[in-house]
Amino acid sequence: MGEIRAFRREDGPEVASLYLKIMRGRGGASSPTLADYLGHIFLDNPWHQESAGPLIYIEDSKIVGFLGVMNRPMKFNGREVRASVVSQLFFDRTLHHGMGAFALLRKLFSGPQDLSFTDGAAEASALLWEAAGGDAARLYSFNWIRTLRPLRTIQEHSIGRRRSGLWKLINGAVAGVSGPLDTIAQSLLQGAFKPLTPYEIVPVDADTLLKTITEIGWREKLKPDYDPKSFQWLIQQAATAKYGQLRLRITRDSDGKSSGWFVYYLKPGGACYVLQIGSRRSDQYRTVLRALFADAAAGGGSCVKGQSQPKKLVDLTEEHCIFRHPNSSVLIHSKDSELRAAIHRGDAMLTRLDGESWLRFSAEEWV
Amino acid sequence: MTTIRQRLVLCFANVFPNLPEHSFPDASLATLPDWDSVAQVTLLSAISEEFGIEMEMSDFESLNSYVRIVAFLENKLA
Repeated sequence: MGEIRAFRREDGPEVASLYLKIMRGRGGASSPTLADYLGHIFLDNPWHQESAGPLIYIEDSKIVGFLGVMNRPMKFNGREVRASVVSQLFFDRTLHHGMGAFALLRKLFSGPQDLSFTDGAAEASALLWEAAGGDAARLYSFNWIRTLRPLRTIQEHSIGRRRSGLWKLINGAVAGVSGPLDTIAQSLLQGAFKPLTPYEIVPVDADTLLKTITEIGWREKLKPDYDPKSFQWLIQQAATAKYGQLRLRITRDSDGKSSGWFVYYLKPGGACYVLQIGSRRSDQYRTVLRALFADAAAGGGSCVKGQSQPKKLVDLTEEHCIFRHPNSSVLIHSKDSELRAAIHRGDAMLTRLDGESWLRFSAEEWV
Repeated sequence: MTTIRQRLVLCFANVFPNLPEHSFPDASLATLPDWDSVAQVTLLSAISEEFGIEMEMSDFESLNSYVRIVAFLENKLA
């Protein structure tokens, strides 16, 4: 039987080696950069509390498992609640034979937080999470994709992933013509592949974005509760992840009044990932979406991907988004039945900016 | 008539495909390296569906060997 305790900064190098072995198949490797990042993200974040922080599992004096946890303040029905966002659950199955991962989740769920959630859980983690008493938030687990450059999108999501000789040839041929043909498609079918927006799209800094978000707010019962200092930290961290150029934008209507905002990674020639999108009024959501797509198209993005917001499924569908449920789920756990019910009926603002999608773990080589 | 053990063997064979059938009675969390948290959840989910029974949270921690699972099923289905 192993021991569970809080992750400490001095555990960083051992946990980094464990991560590289389990997640990257690089046994025996170490990464001081990753060790520093683990400490920085999980211990130096503005919301860290040891009572609900990252955990390690020790067996025979060795760290064999890790559960990354970061606390985030939220509001539910107007009262302050604390959410624990889970990122990175891994175990060395060559050293640990047992129920350690289950025990780590049970330990987390017994903590003082009102809600635990993760937004990028693989199937195995989802199985464990549900067995340990949590739920899958199915409505939030759908992702959507909006194509801007059709050939490039097909290439990236289908042809380019195939490894056999014939497909390599096809991939090479498509790569040669996709740029010009996509440009023609965008010219001929402007509304479809190069959306137009009546809104002015304004680049902003973190402070201005937060002022806009605070002024507009959300209508959902459960929502993030940002403050200037921690929001600044969050945006700074998100900007260092190599998913693309982090863009903070607000939109203004013809009267110059802010109508919404969006935060996403622009990747010219590739998929752009949305962290958050919001609008002042429900009827403005589609136009803000169109502004996002227009911005991404102008920046050369081949498609835009985001997480479904249950109350916006019709708007997303009307704006030609295709829904998918990849092997990645949003999982929740709460002892509060009202809070769980709010999430299951889609009355929660759980965005990627509030989850783990901006963390650098999967974006780096960690050499 | 298919016995509990025969049906249980099917569940074990699916979750632990490399384990010879004659070794099933000795299989446990302690003796089988592949029997970890994920295998446990997958196995108990399979058993739950095969026998049409609900598992309690405590079952996930206590049902950690073939012998215990057989005893549990015999008691539950008696």
